[in-house]
Amino acid sequence: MKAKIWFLILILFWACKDKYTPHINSSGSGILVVEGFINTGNGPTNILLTRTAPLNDVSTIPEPGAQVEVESEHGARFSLSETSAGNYSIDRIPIDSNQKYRIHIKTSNGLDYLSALTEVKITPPIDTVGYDTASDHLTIYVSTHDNRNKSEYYEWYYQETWKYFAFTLSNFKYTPAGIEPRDTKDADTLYNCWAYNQSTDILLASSENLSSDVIYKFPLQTISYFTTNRLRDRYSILVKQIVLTKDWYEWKQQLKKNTEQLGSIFDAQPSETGGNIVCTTDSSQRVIGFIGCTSEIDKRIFISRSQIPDVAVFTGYESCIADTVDFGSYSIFANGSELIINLAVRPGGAEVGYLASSRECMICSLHGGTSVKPSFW
Amino acid sequence: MRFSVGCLLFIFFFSGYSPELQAQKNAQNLITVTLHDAPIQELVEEIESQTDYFFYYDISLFDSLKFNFSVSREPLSTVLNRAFADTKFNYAIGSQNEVFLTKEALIQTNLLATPDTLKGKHRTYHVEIEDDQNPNTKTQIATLENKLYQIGINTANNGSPNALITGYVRDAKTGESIAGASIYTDKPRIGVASDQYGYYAISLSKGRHILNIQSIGMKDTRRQVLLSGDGKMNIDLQGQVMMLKNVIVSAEKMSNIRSVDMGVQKMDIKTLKQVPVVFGEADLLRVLLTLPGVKSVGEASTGLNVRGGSADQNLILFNDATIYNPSHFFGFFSAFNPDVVKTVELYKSSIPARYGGRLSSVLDITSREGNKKEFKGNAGIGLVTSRLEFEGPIVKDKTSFILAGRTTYANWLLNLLPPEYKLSRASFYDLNLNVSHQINKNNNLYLTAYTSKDNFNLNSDTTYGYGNLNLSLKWKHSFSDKFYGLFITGYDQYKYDITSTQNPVNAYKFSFGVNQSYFKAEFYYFLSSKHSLEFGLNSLYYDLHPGTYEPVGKPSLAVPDTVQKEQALESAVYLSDKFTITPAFVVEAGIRFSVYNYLGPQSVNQYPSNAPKTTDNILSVKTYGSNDFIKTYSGPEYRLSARYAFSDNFSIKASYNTEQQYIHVLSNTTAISPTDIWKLSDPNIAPEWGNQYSLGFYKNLKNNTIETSVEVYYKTMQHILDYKSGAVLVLNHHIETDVINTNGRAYGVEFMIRKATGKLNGWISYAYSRTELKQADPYAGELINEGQYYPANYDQPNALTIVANYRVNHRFSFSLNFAYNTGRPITLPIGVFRYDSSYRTSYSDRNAYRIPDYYRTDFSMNIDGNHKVHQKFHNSWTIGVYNMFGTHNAYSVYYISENGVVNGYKLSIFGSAIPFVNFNVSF
Repeated sequence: MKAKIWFLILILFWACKDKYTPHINSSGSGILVVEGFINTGNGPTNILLTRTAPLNDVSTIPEPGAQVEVESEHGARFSLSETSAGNYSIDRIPIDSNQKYRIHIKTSNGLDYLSALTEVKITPPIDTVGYDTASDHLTIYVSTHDNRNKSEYYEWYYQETWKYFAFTLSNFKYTPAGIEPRDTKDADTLYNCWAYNQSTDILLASSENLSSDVIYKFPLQTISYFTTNRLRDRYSILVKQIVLTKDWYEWKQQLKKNTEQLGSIFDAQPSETGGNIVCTTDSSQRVIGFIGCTSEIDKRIFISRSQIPDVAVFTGYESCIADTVDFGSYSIFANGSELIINLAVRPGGAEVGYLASSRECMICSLHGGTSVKPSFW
Repeated sequence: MRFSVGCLLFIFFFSGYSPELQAQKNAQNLITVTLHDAPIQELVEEIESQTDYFFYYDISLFDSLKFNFSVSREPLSTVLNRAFADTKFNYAIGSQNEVFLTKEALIQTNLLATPDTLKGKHRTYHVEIEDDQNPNTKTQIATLENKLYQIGINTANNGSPNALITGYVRDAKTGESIAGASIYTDKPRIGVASDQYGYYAISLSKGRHILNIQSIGMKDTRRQVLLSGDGKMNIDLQGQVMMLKNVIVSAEKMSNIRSVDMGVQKMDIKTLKQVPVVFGEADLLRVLLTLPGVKSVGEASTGLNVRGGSADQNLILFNDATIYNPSHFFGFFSAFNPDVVKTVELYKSSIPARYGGRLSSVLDITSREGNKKEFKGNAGIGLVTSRLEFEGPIVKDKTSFILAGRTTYANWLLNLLPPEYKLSRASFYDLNLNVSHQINKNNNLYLTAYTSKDNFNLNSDTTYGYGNLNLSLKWKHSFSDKFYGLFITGYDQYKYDITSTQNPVNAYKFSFGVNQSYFKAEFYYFLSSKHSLEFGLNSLYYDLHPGTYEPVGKPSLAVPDTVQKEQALESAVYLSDKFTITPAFVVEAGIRFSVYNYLGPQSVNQYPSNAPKTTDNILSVKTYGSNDFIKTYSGPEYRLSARYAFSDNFSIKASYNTEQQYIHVLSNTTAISPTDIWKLSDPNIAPEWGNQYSLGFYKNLKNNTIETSVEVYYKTMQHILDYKSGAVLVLNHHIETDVINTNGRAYGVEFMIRKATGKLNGWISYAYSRTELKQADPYAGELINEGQYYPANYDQPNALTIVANYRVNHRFSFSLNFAYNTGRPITLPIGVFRYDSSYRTSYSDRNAYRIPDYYRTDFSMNIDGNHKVHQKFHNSWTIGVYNMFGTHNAYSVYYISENGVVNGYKLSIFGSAIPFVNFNVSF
């Protein structure tokens, strides 16, 4: 209820934020981090084991060679297998929603870790993933509800995909033999790209203060027309929803506060991050992570350029220009730093050379995406 | 019996008076008169025309009296006896045919000044009035330095070697009482200070003395007295027309040596006004931060941490009203209008027994009384705020008012923001009204009304509003010269609300409020020259609404939720004696006994005594009815201090104090915020308790123009609230499960050098201090820093402040301010891990690191218009730069996950030089 952004205004005026890296003794590296959840739906259960790294050497340190099992309160066990270093996975587990489940981890150094038994949550379907447009941005939101009033605590993740183009089409290509027309497929590969992004903020909402279990228009992502090329052509977002238990939700919220909501004037003290996992062989071992049982529901929507206001959407090629290159100088295309757009034509129709632009402007995959069309597109 | 202003000063206008001529009129002085519903003037005119008597009287005292009688050829005494039969009026006939008419008082005509002191047409007559109930007391208004004033009657049967002089110190021009004036004799070394009402009482040996009187902004003066017995003397002081001449606390000259109090910082508004602060408007709380032992967690906060106490441990009193939130704009400005403030006193060590209820300090802010003689005003325009103040008499010399308001127009700043913040709005105002009324010489009434309101909304999404409302009425009654009482009643309120309506389904309003009504009776009794007593009682009823959550609008599904309101009664009796053992050795011993009752109706969770308080451990819920006594806490609080003066300019003081606090702020943010929740002590949350030992050395140099002091202290605190990780403080029906009991200890040494007068004045203060906390709750369930001591958020070991003012001439002065302190402790991450597609930081020990040290230099110039006394408008400019070197001082250092990666930042609140200009005009 205490907004972190109160002070935004004053901060914008007088405050300043400088990058700052104090010397810190990173005594906290090597702590086991357990991420994932026991999937109560049809999908696989994925558990990721990593170790904390020093602050001055940020990296993901996987924890390979562990034995990971899902256990029910009545003693049923399901073993996960390591699919890649630190990634442990099992296909669909037959879950009895009347039981409680936990995970048991035995790391390669012989320590046993056990999460608390948690109840099974069943995630209700997403009602809508929609968007509201404004003059300079659009906001994507999610709405959901649970008629059983059993969900209350929700979390979302999303994966974004969007199509964008290069500066312009390249109709000719350089060959040692000379300049030749480029075939359409080749030109399209240079011109059409798809970029991907996934949510990095923890997105949480709760209906605990409401009279019915309803989440109405929870904002997931805000997309500016003018600072990103997401809306250049067509945009898609896959929203994944899970339902949490109350203590799981509170743990996530604390993690969010500790890592995403600092920097205001009324900061709360960051606190030690724990979770619901303990080391049963050595209680002084810290563990980070909360393992609960839930199912995942997803929903994808598409937004086309035509569905947003008619504005000049950011392309990423604002600084690209087309140069004219004399026919005689065509050898400059040999090293590939410039690509040919088309023939340069004077008013009146006389061809005087080639129109060309830089490689960075002409090859879309150099702008963070790939030219491979995703299967759902 | 004392007399107040109006009764004492008789001003007579008479023209063509000539005793020689009138003596011929009626040799027998017999009078014949018939009056029917006649006013006093008619009676006087008749008598004066028939005889050579001349009347002196204050016509305003007789305005309701009508005469109906008839006499024929009777002497004056018969006529006057007839006229004033069954009234409270008295008369006295002087040796030169003067007739004095008074109400309730007899006049001793033999002590009158002789007529040769009366010169010119308008004559001021000093009359010494003898009280019919206490014939040994007389009052005079002593206005002349070279006149010897006789006080008391030399009677043989009064064997006491000492006599008491009492009276008021006032401003001759406005009639306003002057608080904190020093009245002292050089030999022997005896001194007192006038109280808030300008009242003083000084006991001296009989005989001839020279009284020195000094006060802020007033010319130093002295009075010669010949003391024969107890008596009264009011002292009118002349203002310093050249205000800049003597701006700093000259009244405090030597008072640091003489007073028994320690750790008391007193400042007047003129001192406050010359310290440069951000945005240029005199800011009381920011100036307090330049004093040793007073800190805050950062520039955005006016929450004071006094000698290692938390920001909720300060009792902030504005004319007896408790101000729960003394700041505007979330802490950027203090909520006190500088035009109304008269003096500020901060008690950080020896706290007088009449105060209680907070652990660390008492900040006593006294407002001005309005001008009793003429209408005056003040207006100021600054970058962010403007203010207007108006004052004047309602009934001249009796009743006056002062009305002042401030408001902001910061919205123009907000309009400069990027378009997404265009709809943001911020505003605040505060209003003060003080009325003081003199009922008669023994009774005064003071009314104080204060309100402040802040509103803020960011882009029309969530709106925050908070405000104070305070009303108090004080009656001052003098029982005798030596004994007076104050009876104060009032109502204080602080409330805030947060409204969010952007999402119609979630639209809500959250509100919090704390109300308190109080009654205080304080008695001051000057028992003898050795003993000066203070005693009294006070009672405070809390009515606290911890939180109400309600839907806004029809589509809202928000479920109303209200945390049950709390009520409690906090009462105390106290007695304190200032015992002057010898003039050099003075001890002040006080005891305060406070009783706190947590009252129903309430439902209280019951927990086992030997297990953590968690929701799983709730044994039962006990329900109490209205006004049931649920839990009573009580205990004595000791207030001891002693001073030994080795010489006129060197003394040592020591003190010991204990305090109890029954109301707590629930806040897990570093800076105290306007939306913090206050919580009363209940069966599950014990009151805070603290004690402090301190010792101080005070030495004045260069004829008392330079004061130096060293104070050391050690204090401990118990039952301070801390919070579990992830504690929920809002709308929590079982807050005791989220809090942890913490003990604290604080110690330090404070040095101060202050030069009060001269072209160059100001102070240098340095403090080394530590504040550490330790979790003391065996059943808390989690251990902060393994249960070891860790530094508190506001632990800043080294702090140095220099405040310097240089007066170039009477119209121009400049000030320089320098501040340095060690960075406050902060919790920094010890490792990083990847979770939910982002690198994130992990934390361990609390407050193991510190933000970078803080340096700041400010500069300001004060330019006054001309000082012509009779000019209608006086204006002045204040121009300056806050943080003139643009230092990027850290407010906080933090790590945050942004787009999947961890970034470290240093946040500075005022990261550049901030110029300011203020224009003031008084009329």
